[in-house]
Amino acid sequence: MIGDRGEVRILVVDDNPTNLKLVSTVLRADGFDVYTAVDGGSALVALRDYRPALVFTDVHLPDFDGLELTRMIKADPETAGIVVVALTASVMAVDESRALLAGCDGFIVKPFDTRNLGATADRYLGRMDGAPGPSGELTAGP
Amino acid sequence: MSIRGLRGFAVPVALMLAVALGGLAIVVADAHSRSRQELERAFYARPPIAAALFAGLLRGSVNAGSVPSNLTHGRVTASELRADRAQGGQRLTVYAGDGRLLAELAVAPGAPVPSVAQQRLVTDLAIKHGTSISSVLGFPPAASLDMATAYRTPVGERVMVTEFPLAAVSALLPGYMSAMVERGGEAFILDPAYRIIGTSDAGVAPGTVASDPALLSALAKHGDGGYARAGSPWHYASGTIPGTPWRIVLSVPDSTLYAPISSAVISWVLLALFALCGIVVLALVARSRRDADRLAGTYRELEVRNAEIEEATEAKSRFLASMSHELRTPLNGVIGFAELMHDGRVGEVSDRQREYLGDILASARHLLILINDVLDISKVEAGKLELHPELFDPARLVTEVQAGLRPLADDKEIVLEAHVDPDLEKVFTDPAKLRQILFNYVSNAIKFTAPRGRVEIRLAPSPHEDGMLRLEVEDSGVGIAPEDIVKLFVEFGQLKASTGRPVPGTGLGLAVTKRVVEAQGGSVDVRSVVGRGSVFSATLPYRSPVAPGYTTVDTGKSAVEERVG
Repeated sequence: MIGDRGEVRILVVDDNPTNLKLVSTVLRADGFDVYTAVDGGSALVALRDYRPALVFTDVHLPDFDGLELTRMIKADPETAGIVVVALTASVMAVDESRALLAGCDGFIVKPFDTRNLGATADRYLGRMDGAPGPSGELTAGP
Repeated sequence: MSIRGLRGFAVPVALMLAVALGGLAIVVADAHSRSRQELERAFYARPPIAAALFAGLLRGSVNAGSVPSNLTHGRVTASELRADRAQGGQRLTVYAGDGRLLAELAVAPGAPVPSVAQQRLVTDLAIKHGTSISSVLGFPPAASLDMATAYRTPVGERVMVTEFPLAAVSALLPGYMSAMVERGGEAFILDPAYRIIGTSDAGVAPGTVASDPALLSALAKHGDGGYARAGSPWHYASGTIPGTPWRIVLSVPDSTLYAPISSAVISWVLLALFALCGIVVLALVARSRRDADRLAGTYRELEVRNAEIEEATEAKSRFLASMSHELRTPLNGVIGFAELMHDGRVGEVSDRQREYLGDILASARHLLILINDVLDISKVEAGKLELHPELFDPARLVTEVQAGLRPLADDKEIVLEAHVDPDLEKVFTDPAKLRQILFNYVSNAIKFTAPRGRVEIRLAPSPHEDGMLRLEVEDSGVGIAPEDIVKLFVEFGQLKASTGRPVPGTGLGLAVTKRVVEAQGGSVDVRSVVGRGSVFSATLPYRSPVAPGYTTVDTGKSAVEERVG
């Protein structure tokens, strides 16, 4: 299963360089083929150039927000099949509702569990058994 | 209205009363100050008025007659007109020639009915002048007939004398009277349309000019004007009716002449009372308007304040959401990279480095818990705590929490046991909240229990309250002094250990637990013996799945998968 991950392209969109680095590092460590974008505009370019299967996008982006990006992805028949998961530090219930209304397939809050992100990506891509569920942030000690 | 409101009314009302009474006093004084001479002068100065007054008075009487609604106003001829006395003289009916009922006049029992002369005149007038039936039948009632007396003086002058109260001034209608005719020994006064507006009677009023032919002659000699004789209580005003040989003489006794004073006073009093009422009403209206304005003002003020409070609450919520977002973003980097290094996923680390990375993670996660707690408290305060109750197996949730905290217990060689009542197969409550409560109690219990101690979780239906779930976490820890128990559930109300040093804790955990439990309609409690341990409990409502109206469908969703925060 893990071996297959090399074929899976994931686009990570985040304007915070540390988080972008963290998410891409975790996913690469888990064996995925990871591309990054720091704003909505470059995300659209990356979508066209790399055709990812999954997009992890931050909600707050400098040009247009992650929800707008999601709407654009879902509105275009060519990209509508791409799984989009919001990865955000906005944790209010209304934030999740907005994301799901915009067309996001999932909603993960920061700080996320780095140990589960790969498995979560697999679930969203239907690469593992079980319904895709949100990757819960940790509240327990190490 | 309140007493205070009534007292508020009393002042303006009293003021108005004073003003009105003052005005009244002036009016009365004025009336009394007018001399008899002045009044007489006013009376005599206008003899033509007297005649007009008389006509007006009569007209008022005419209108008192009852006229049926099917009365026609067209001209009729003699052949068409047929008056008939019916029912023994109690009713006068008039028919047109074609048999139509033109008029029907009821005559009150005992009252004089129109005389033959009157009826004849009516017929003549109708033929000659086309006088309408309605006015023909508008015979003056008995009262007015008594008020006039017609005379033919020795010198051939025709005089009609009348008495009436001067208060009838209001009925003055110049030119109303145009003719006097005699028919069958009676005198009739006609208006310009030849309608009978007054009749005389045959009697002689005692004490009036009629009994004094000399006076009649004197009046005739004086022409139009006022007249009085020394020693007599009577005052006269006479005037000729233009185009006729008739003169109207108004005779008024002292008592009537001076009645105007009292009448005027009464009028003024009435006027003053009306004015007073008007003022009071206006004042009440103004006051109620002021009250309404004040109420509206208060209401607006409250609305503004309410809006301000709502705005402030909103601002607080926005601030907390924004604060949470801002703090989480860097924390994500701290926890994430520490985790990567700690787990050796990005290269080998030494044991000591792993230990320190574990400390970084523990601290960062503690910080995260605090952020979540602050958010939770603000949600409860803002009434925005969302409950998502569902049907689940509580034993499974307890096992998951137990498993999650077992490493912490194992570190201190603490025995962590759980007992879930077998009857509790399914509960209907918010699993994330129950997990949060349980997690908080158990992690605290492990924290405050000495190594090789014991922590026990118990979950069962409340033995005291129906429909309530009782969660207990018992530890063999240091225990809590009674004076400290009250501080337990207060935000940052951390207790001091026996050493006087604050014991490490989440700070907000118990406060959040208490609020979350209470928000669900439950309660929290703690029993403790210093040196022996504590029992933290929470009583929560859970709706039994066997109760009618609830389906026992398993969502298949693990309770522990619910995101916390």
